[in-house]
Amino acid sequence: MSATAPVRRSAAPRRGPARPRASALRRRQQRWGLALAAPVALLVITFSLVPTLQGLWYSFTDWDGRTATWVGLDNYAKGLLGNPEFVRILGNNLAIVVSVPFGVAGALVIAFLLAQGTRGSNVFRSIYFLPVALSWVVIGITWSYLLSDRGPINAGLRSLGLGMLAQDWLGQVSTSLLALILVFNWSYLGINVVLLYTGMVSLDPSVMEAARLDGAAGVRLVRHIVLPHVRRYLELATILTMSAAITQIFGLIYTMTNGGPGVSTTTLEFQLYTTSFKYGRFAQGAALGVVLFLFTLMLTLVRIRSGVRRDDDD
Amino acid sequence: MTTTDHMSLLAPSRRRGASVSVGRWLTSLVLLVVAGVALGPILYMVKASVTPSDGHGVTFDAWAHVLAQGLARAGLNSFTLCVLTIVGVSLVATPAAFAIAKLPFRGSQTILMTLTILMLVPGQTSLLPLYFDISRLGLIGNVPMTALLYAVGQLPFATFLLTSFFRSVPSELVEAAVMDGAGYPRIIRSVVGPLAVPPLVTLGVLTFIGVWNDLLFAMLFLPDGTQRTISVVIATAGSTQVFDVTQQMAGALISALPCILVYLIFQRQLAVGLTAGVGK
Repeated sequence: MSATAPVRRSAAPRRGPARPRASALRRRQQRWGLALAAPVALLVITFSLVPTLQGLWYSFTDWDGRTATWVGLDNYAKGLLGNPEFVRILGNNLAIVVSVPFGVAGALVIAFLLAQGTRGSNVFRSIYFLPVALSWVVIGITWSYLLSDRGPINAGLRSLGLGMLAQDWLGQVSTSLLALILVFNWSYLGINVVLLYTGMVSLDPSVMEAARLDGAAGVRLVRHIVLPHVRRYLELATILTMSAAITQIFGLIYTMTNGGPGVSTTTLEFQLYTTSFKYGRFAQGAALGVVLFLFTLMLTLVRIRSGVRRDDDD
Repeated sequence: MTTTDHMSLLAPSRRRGASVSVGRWLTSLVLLVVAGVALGPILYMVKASVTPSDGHGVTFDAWAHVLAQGLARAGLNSFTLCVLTIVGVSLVATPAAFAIAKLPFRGSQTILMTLTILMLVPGQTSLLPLYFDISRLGLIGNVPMTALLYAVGQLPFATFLLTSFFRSVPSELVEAAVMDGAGYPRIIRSVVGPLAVPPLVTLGVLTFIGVWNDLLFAMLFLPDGTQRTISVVIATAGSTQVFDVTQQMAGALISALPCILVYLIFQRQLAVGLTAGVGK
């Protein structure tokens, strides 16, 4: 890669007396440019690009951490798709991803109410945003306590006379995934409210006024003016939350359910960890890493196609 | 962030007294309920951490206990890791971003493209090869090595953010310094570096929260008792029965305090960074 080529001093003689300063400056910029950017390039290549390519290679081999022999698609075909639990794990991933639009819709309603100019909307925004500062570990520990068999939520249900609803939320297959999904969306509510609120207040008040003069009001105003305006923000919030659901909630699952009971709350990301470090099947772990990359890539392509760009964000 | 408090989306231009005030009242009620849902679990955690086992009064026994039982030490480990990572990212990304933005050199586009591609690759894809490469070097349990890994994880985004910042700095500033005979390292140190403090603060805040809260890398690369980070200690304390519930809540709260503090001081920077696609 040219980016890492060693810095060479150019031995070429100066071309002519006409612009010696300009060409000397250009050579100096070339040398310094490479020298200043080289550390980033070297570090990223060594500790990110090379291991990623290694991971891709190992996913096609039988790899025990030391030696690797080529096995083609075995890890994908037999190891992943051939594993009966894998369908459930994929389903878990799908369920969390599908829940995201509902969570974002909730955030949209709240952002909309905030944008009404209610008194104290700044305070509310800060409160909603606070869970953002909490780590998945802290969130997972707190909620696993709140949702535990003899925890406060069940106690609350019983005191309201709803004792028949009280149950071991995280300890049974029928409710554990639902609990995980609700907690995940709870954690992302604040950031999405802030993002969508930013979109809403960037709507030019004069546009609203013009629409009102044309006789638009209430629901029609929301549908034809507000929603089209925040569409980009909605797409961004949805995609960011979805990619978090796919690759960033290891800590939440680890502390809340540890993937269980069974594999009822295991996602691909969590499976990568258990497959590798509990069962020592590192090649399958590598294959899962590649699958996660493909999912992320897919979301990015959607994001690019829908025209959401990084510089739109704030 | 812009705030236009006067924008009322639903209110019709001619106010109809009663229905408007009922609407306002309902809006406030909904917002209050949501605030309760957001804050409730956190308040409950505080309450649980200071309630003694007989359920009466307030005690900080659990707080003192977990701090004495290695949590203070773990917090220090996490803090060291954060500082090393932040310093590393800033020192490496700033000159590179300056070069890419202000020095036209062959290879800059290749570097930028590589960084873009790497931003799409989740950490898990390279995790296993990294783990075995590092363990072959005998560097599992090495704090600077782990900080380096965190720093590399942040570098693509950091370089990007700083590059777009340096592009907005007028080139005349750099040219004038060159005319005055200043070398590029000097220009970075005393001309454009000080200007880059705001984006560097944003990066520092995001890096701090990211490293402090990380579980997976910390668990794998710093598995040793004395080196474990606060997140790892807290996350594993429950399953290993090291702490009871009260102590666990106290520990979780203590581990969250620095981040809550950072959040309160740097809320704006956090919002910008998180909406730019950096997860926690």
